[in-house]
Amino acid sequence: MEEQLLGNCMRLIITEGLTANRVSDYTQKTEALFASDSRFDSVVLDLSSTKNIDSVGVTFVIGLYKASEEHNKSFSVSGASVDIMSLFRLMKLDQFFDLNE
Amino acid sequence: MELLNTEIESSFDAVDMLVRTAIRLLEEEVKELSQSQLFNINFMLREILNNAVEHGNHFENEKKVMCHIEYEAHQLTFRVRDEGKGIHLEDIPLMHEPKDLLRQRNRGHETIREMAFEVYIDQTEVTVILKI
Repeated sequence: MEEQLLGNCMRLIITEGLTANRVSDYTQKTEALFASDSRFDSVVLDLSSTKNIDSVGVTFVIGLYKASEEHNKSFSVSGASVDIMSLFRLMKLDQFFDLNE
Repeated sequence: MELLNTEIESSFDAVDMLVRTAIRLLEEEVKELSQSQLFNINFMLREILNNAVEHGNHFENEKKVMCHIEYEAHQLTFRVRDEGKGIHLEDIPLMHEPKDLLRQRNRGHETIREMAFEVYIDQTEVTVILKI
C-alpha cells in the first residue's frame, strides 16, 4: 500500500490485492498513520490497481471508514472497478461513504 | 470436465495463489463466463477457502484444504473440504438488521448467496454451484 499526501488529503493506494493475506499489513500501516499524522483531514482509498477482494478486505475498508470518522476525517473510495463498486452496493456500503470512479 | 483438483496448506497466501490459478483456468476453459461472473467466483472462492483455512483448520500446518472445480452442462461446481470439526448451515447467521451493515464479521456467506450462488454445507465440505 502506498501513501500519498496531497494537500490535506491522504491517498492510500492499494497496489496488491485487498485480500486476507495482505490486510494485516494494511491495518498496521493505517493504524500507524492515524496515530502519528494529523496533517490530513480526508482519506481516499484508491482501488484503481485492485482486482482481487474478499470479505476480509471489505472489513478493512469498513475499519478504515470507522477510523476516519473517529478522527473527524472524511473518507471515500476512488477508482474501484465496476465489479467492486457493485459488491459495495450489494453490501449497502455506499450509504456510508462515497464511491468515486 | 474436471478443471481443478488440488490441495493447499492452511494459509491465506496459499488461498491467494490457488484462487489466482483457478481464475486463470476458468478464463481459459469456460469462455462463456463474463468478467462479472469471474469476479464473483473470485470473491466466492476466497470466502470459502479462507473459512476452511481459518475456521476449519485453524491455520494448522499439518492440515490441508482440498479444492475441486468441475464444469458440466452449463454448471460450475466448486467443492472445498477442510480437516476441521465441521459446521452446520444453521450455525451461519444469514440475516442481519440494517444497523449491522458495518459489522466486522459474517458478511461472506450472505453475500455469495446474494450473488446467485447455491451453497451447500455438509460438515467439513462446502459445495457451491453456479449455473451459467
